[in-house]
Amino acid sequence: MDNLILEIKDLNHAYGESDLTIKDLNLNISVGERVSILGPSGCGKSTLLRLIAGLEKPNSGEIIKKAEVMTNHKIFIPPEKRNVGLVVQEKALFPHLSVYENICFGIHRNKDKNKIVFDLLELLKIDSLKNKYPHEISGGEQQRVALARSLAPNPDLLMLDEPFSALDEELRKSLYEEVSKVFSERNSSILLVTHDAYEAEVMTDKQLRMEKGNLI
Amino acid sequence: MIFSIASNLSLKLASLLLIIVGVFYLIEKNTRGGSIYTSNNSNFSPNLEDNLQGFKALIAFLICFIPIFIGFIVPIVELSFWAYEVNLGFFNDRFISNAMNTLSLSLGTGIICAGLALLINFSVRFKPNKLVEKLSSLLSLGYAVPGLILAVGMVQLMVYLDTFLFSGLDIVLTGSIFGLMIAYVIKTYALANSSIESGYQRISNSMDESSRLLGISGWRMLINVHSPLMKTALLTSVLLVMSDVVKELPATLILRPFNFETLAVSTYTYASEERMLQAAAPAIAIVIIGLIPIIFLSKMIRSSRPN
Repeated sequence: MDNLILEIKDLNHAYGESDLTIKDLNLNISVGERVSILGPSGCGKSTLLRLIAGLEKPNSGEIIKKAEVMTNHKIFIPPEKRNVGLVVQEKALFPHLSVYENICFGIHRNKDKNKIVFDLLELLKIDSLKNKYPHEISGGEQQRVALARSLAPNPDLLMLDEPFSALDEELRKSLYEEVSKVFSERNSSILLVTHDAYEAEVMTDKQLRMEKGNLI
Repeated sequence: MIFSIASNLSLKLASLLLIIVGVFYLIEKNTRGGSIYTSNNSNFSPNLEDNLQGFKALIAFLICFIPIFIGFIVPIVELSFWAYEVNLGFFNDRFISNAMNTLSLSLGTGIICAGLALLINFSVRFKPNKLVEKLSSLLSLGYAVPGLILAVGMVQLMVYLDTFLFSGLDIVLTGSIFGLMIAYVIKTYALANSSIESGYQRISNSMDESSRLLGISGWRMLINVHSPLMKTALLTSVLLVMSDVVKELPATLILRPFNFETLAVSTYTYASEERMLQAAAPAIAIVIIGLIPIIFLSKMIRSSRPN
């Protein structure tokens, strides 16, 4: 089990006094593995990603990343110290920064900063946009930038929350293939949540189904 | 003895007024149910405009123009005539010094208020804290308190601090720029806070989450994400505070250091001596300095709207 990047044990979560959104969930992801979780809206997929990212605290259970406890009943590592990436559906690029600056944002104290950014710009075919601002580029281009920005700090695990659902079908399908090629080249560990079976199949090696807060 | 009785009476009146303000504040807070509004998207939706034509346009123009004509154009023309009659001789070193005092005081207060409001709102957003929220609400009450009442309270506070901190020395804080600035900050914090608060409502929570996931949190988030996104709100709050401080008279009269004059004070001094011609120039200067922020603000609002 040494090559596990993520281990989740008996995770439970509820928002306030409401019913549990995550119930006794267990999940393991190995290094370089690409896993997707399929399920209808409201089944707890996005909540699971937020719990792994440290944006929510669970009621009980344990989240371990690379053999280090991120969350349990005693420990809670804040999101900024987890080194996990999350790409969401809504546009969360910083509007006051150019494409280049957005991608640079998460790279700290790295001499090869420029090289990393230019490699990602090239890999995601957005090098011509480097000096543009988010409002000057299309929705598809913005999602590519968001993906490059999340990949730039070289996260241990990259999570994607229906990243392309706001885009039109044609663009979405072309991105699936391009993006999965990028993941393969970088041997990234991926956790994708989606309600689109085709997206899950094209982009990941293993598909899991989630219903009412648990994997089935 | 007479001064002591008057001072006690004014303090009691000031306290009573503060209680009334506090009651109104609590009523307002309860009516709102403590709701806080934040946005999940930062997209701007433009107002729909309807261009009026013909008679309707004329009526709309008159409704907007008449108050400006009576309340602004006529007095300014009259004041300009008076200023002209003293052959512009008023624009001497003393006038420049008063104008500089006014500008530096208002700018200083603006920067302090905007900075304070930014820090408090950031603190509430980043790590909600009841104490900080209450402090912000308490400071905001200051806007409802007349400058005179605030000044009376501030004199008492400064006298107490002078006795406590500098008991062997002469008065240090009483009648100092420090006391005056504190009074201004209490009086105008609400203006800065409202602008910063609405600025924060336009920054979606996903911005904060993205920043944290990319390893930037706390002060670095304030400097690298919030401050640049709040540029307009910060500038607006500085300008709003400036336009208010420029006009502030009662607190300045009571709390200013000796021989320290602002434009409002010199206008008041001349007017109280019935020297209306001499009062005209500083009065116009106040209007001009007060107009600068308004012009800036309306330009900023216009440029933030598409088309």
